[in-house]
Amino acid sequence: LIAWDVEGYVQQQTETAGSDERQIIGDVDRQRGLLLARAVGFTFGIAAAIFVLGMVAAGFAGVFVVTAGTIARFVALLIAIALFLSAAWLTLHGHDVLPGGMIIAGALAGVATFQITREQVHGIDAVVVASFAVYIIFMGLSGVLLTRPLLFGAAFVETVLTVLICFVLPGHDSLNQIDAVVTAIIAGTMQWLAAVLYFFAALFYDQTLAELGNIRLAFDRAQKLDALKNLFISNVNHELRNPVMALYSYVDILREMDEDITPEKRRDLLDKSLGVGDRIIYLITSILDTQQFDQKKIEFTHTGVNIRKTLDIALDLIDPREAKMVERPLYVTISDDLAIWGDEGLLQQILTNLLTNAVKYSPPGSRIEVCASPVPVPATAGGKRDGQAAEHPMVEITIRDYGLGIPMDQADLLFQRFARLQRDLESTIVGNGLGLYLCRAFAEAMDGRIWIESAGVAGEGTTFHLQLPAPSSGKYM
Amino acid sequence: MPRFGAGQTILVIDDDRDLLPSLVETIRAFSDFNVVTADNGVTALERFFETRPDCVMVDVRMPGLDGYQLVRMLRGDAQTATIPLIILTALAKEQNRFVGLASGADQYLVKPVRPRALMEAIRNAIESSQEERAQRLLGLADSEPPQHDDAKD
Repeated sequence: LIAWDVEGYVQQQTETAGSDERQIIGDVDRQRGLLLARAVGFTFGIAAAIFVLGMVAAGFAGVFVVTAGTIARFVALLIAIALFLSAAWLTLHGHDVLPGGMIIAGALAGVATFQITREQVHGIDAVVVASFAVYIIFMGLSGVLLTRPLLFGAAFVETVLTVLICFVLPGHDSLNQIDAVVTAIIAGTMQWLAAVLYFFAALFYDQTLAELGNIRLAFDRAQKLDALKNLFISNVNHELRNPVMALYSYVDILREMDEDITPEKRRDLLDKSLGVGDRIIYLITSILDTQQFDQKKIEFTHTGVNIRKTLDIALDLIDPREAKMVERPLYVTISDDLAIWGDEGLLQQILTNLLTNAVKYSPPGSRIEVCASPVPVPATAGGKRDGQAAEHPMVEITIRDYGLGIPMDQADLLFQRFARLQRDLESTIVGNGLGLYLCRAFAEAMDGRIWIESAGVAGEGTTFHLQLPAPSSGKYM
Repeated sequence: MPRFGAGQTILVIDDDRDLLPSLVETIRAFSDFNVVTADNGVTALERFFETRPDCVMVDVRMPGLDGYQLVRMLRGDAQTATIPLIILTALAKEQNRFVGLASGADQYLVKPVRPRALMEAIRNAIESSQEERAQRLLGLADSEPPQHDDAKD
């Protein structure tokens, strides 16, 4: 059926984006699992091969007569080792189920061969067989299933069995002294090796987890920025199409109604076209400014900039479409020679943006106050604090309006790119959410800072504070 | 372009302060409509019932009541169901067009539209609505058009 409501439609799109995210996270999870399976499977495949070699040594210890049977058993053990090494290679290349089976099969082959050899020399010892079988099968499973308890369990069971068989359990006379020592050494070495391998596997696992966490955080951040960007693009789309259509209209009227238009009307239409053109340029400039800042390419000169003069320029540059300055009492408290150390263009843009905001977000006729004064330096004026360079003297400019105010919990948000308060999105106040972002970028580029002070109460208004370095007798800081 | 719209009123709704005057300018230049404007959906409804326009052109993204909702409201009411409705919007996606036409608009125009196309759309919307109204008067509007023969081919 038809998606009647637009909100539902938007939500549907958001959910699609959500499933993309889940897929990416799922992929990362699988990737992590695969990496771990490879690392653990590989190390345990190698470990099992070494273990079986040890069993060969134990099995043939003391009695090594070359017969057809001995060679056959030796070949069987080599096959077991080959199985283990293949399993290790396979896990390294991303397989998981097959190597597990191979490790288990190799282990059984190894144990069987070992037992036959032992049987000829010492007779059957079921406990020893069970011990080795349990250990190797545990290792095989651990490599595949990747569970820490299983790894711990295998090491623990094998330790207990080794001690029991070699030194405690009565009635195991078939194990002579050499066998007991060799078995204990092999088993002990294997456990030690397993512990080291496990340690590195765990280290790797935790590292991967941390990386995954970072990836998720970065992804989350990117997604939020992406959402803001989409909103911004949609706003730009909206705001560009309108003036372009207005421009078309005026120009087409001029073209098609050529003979019917009075000179006054013609002039009026031309002026309107130019006005609309200005708005397009304004919008494009804002976008370019943002992009420029993104690429960290704010280029500017350091000079002494007179605040009063720059303010006058800034006032002239307030876009009348954005905000009408007419009939606004403007109180300026700035001494004529007060200056900052920075770039005139940047300061002018900051002031224009802040003044435009002040006018936009306060009722017509309400006053706006602009003050500037040097920031009083604490008692240690002029001197140096211990272990710290003297702070550069600053000048503070404040712009105060008596408008809607800003909820303080949303104040920081305002300096983010594309950000607009929900309240403004729902209102008819136009804006692209770039002004304050650029103000902060410019202020910081000049080693200054900017912040908001507001009671968040309508009528009490908002004060923007802008601190910029004061000129210091021509010395470049 | 033959002029039309004499003695008729058109309600133009758009929240853009540059575009709205240019729309008024265009419609006045190329037709004889009496133009009434509103810059949001709620004001638009008030204007609508004050002036009873013969055609409505509405933006989609507006504060408060949006264009889709307005179109649906007007289409949903028996008294205003046959009014020619044109959506003029910056929303260029095919899905938006689908939602717009499904809401009941006669025309869905994506900004920017040049004056000729705009006027043509207004004319078409009015004419198609007149046909619909005539059909409804004849009791034909509810009957299904014979599409089965086409399906067999």
